[in-house]
Amino acid sequence: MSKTYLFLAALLILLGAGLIVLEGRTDEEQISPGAILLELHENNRYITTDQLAERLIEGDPTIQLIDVRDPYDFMDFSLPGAKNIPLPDLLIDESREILSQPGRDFIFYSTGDVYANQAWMLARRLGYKRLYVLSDGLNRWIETIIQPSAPDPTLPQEAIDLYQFRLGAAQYFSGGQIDVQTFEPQEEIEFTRKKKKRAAEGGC
Amino acid sequence: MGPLIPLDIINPGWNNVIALLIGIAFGFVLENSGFSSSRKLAGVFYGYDFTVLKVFFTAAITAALGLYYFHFVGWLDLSLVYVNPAFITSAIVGGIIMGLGFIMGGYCPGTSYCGAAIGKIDAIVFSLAMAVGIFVFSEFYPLLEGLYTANYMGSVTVYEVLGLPAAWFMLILIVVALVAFFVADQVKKRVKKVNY
Repeated sequence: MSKTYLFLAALLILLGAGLIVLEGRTDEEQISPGAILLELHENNRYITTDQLAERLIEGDPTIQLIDVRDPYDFMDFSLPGAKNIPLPDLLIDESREILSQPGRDFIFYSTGDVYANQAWMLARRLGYKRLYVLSDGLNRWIETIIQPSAPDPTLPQEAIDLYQFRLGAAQYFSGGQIDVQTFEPQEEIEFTRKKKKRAAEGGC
Repeated sequence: MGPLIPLDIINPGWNNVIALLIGIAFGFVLENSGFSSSRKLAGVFYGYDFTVLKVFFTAAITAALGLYYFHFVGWLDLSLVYVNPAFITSAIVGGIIMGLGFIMGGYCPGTSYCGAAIGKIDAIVFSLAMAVGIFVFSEFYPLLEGLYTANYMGSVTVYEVLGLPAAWFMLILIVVALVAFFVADQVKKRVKKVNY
């Protein structure tokens, strides 16, 4: 029997034995707690309600909203296109299917952002990518998008533009008619120089 | 990541195109390794050539090992891989008929097309006879249906039926294959050489 045959036979047995060693291992990719801690301190996982509203209005197809509140609250009110994964269900197969869709940004939200952050951390630990948290959750969503409060007219133009956008968004998301008050920026005050009185002419 | 088609990474519309390409490659390899010769194929029954046994058994264990390693690396979700449904009675009856046909005709279905493709008359006859067989079976299907669907076990794998962990079953299968290869070589040494 040639050496090549012996080598190949040994290789096959080795590979078969390798399977036995690997069998007990889980194939879940997990990232280390240290790496999560680092990411936790960079606050770039947060997305603001205004950013979210803009992307929803534009019909951004990459967005996948995930509601981590319980199903009753979800039935009561939820954001458009959201899927409900209550926090205790995060590890079941259906949730994993939702979270492993390729090419999507997953945005967790809850009433505030405590539960959403917990979901973010767990999902991050399971190795999922492109995860975000809606900053201050639905409370902030109601405050800013559904019932925006009028800014002080003395604020800069950006604040007023943002308010206009929020009014439009409120109409988009709640469907109701809302009095749109337009805030004209204050007219620039023209400075007019007082004409100098005629200089005294010579005489006397 | 995989399997590519069930996960919609490749559109299911490509199914037939991919099947055709794989079929061409498979046929090429079969022909290239001499499997279009009925004498070589029949050799496994007479003990002068065990190429068929070695090639197909090696292919099976290599593919199985590949699937499992892909699964562990995370490239393939084994739970989505199609498992052929098992009908025990028809598998046994069909196996006997297929074996008889193999010895008498010197071909198995795939290799008969290989032989037909390079113009071997016995292979052409074999392919046509196979078509006749399929036709007869289809016509008599209402009569044979009871036998055909008897002892249905669903889509099960051998290790599930045996209650063994998949990895242990793989190791045992590899050892069985290697022993079979060794025994085949011993048999071949004792059998009179046939030139073909």
